[in-house]
Amino acid sequence: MNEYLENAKAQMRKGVLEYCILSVLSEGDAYVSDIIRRLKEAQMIVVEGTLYPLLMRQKNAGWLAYRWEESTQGPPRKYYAITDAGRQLLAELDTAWQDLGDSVIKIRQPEKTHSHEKRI
Amino acid sequence: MKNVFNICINGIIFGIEEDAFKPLSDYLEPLKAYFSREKDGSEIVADIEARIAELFTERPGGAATAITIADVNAIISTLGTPAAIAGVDESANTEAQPCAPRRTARRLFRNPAERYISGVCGGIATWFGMSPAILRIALIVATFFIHWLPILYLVLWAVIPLAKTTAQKLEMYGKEVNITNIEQSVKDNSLDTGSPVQTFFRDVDSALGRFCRILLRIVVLVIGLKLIVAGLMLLVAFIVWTCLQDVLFRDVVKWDFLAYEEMLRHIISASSYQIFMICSVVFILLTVAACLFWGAQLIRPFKTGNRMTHILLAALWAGSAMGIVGISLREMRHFTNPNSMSETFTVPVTDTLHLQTVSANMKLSNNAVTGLYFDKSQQRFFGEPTLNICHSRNGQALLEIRRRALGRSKPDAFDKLAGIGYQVAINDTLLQLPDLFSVSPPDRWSFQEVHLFLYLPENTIVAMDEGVMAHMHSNAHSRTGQQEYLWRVTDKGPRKIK
Repeated sequence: MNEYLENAKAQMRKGVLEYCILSVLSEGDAYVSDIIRRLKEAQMIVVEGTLYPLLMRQKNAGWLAYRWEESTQGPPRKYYAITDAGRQLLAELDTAWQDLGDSVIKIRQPEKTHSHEKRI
Repeated sequence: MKNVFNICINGIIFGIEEDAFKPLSDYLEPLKAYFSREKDGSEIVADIEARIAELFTERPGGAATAITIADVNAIISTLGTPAAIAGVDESANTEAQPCAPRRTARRLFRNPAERYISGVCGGIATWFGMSPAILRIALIVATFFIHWLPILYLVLWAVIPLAKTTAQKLEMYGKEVNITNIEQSVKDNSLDTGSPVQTFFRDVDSALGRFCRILLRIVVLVIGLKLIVAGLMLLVAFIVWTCLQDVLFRDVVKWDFLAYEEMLRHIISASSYQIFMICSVVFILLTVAACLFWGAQLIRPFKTGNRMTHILLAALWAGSAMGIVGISLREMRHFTNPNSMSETFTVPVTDTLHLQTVSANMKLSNNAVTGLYFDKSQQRFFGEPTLNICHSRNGQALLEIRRRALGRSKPDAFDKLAGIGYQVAINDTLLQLPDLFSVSPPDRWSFQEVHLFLYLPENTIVAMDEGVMAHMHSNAHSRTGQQEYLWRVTDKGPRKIK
């Protein structure tokens, strides 16, 4: 039961992780560590490692890009930015997320919606 | 107190405690192996390593303190296990077939874990799922009957790739390349120790290995011995050539001996000669040294001097070889164009024609191989003409003197022809032929030749003295004490009269 729950939660997070990465980057360019901090704060990820293949995949798809930034301590670091194609995708994902949320709410709270309609 | 290794992650050097090294490497290896299959896999691994370096730097104490096993565990829990990281990619697969261990088709690789020579047998045996020992024995036995098998082996060696990455090794055994298998194989090292074979075959394997090693050792010993013998023989030849040839050959060889290097001095230019001799001596001595050195090294390996000396000597050897070849090529240009010239004299038609040698009567040095004569006191070269007696078809009697020489160009060769000094005298039925021809310039040799062709009608009898006989272009030489030799010209050429 518990195992199943964990798995289900992981699957749910996995589905929207790419959406979240694009969202974080849409607010401004960021280092990987910044993205990780934001996602951890929001409890979107448990372990960081999963992020790197995703970033690479999104970069290859052309939704985001990176440049090398010199660092005061240590070697240069990757600085990620969202591309125009990424913004377009993000807008569509926003709509999709909205629709999905609405759908779930519609299913979860049928009486509320009904009563709402009746009230009108 | 603990041993600390130095490792470099993303360009930063960290000290890591001995017992923390293996967990960290066991953590990174499967990731590397897994992502190496993807296009940008190495970059993903580099990103992860960069993050690891960042996290290590952010530890209290920073990069200056050694990484402990606790630090490594902390990293793993922060980044997630290889299975979790790769799980993003693999979730779809594992859900479709949650428990069945899939076996994909085996791929043929040379097996680095099962190799004596190149892993060809090991690879093929792995592919068939049999013991490499049996295949090796079969191959060795079959080689006695099918002689081209070693060539097939070499071709297979070239064609079949070696399994280098963990992914390739898994494919070789027909295991699915997923993160679980990779992690497992990295942990228990199973891919690098070979497939477990039954003890019997293992014994055969090691016995065969011992046998092969002994055989190899014998071959190496024989080669080493041969090298040493070759080196010693070359050394003896060199000593004879440089120091002892006068002493040794003065009595053995009847005529005064014209050595090759002396001859060479009169064929190539003076400056080239000096360099050529130096190159030759250096080349031969270094070859002798190399033969002895490698021979001794093969028989009983010993410690050698520094590398720089070896490289220097090798360069010197190659340089001297190039010098020899270069000078040879340069000097050869002087002898690229042949030219020839013919003179014809009428000889009276008679029953019997007498041939007589006119001897230069000089003490000459001779080179047995080239038939070249040299007057050491006058520094002059002389050559030996050849004589051919031919059947004349039109009934006329003719003497043709054909001269040949080599030169830089046709005109140059012609100058050399003109420098050939050879005069015959025809006094009625007596032909007087000098036994040698001279060249000009006298101390330069350009491969001049003089060929005499005597055309005589059928049934003419030729009487010649011993000196002329020696120049006959014939193998019918016999020196039985007779003063004159009688020959009769027939339509098939000259025949000796008994």
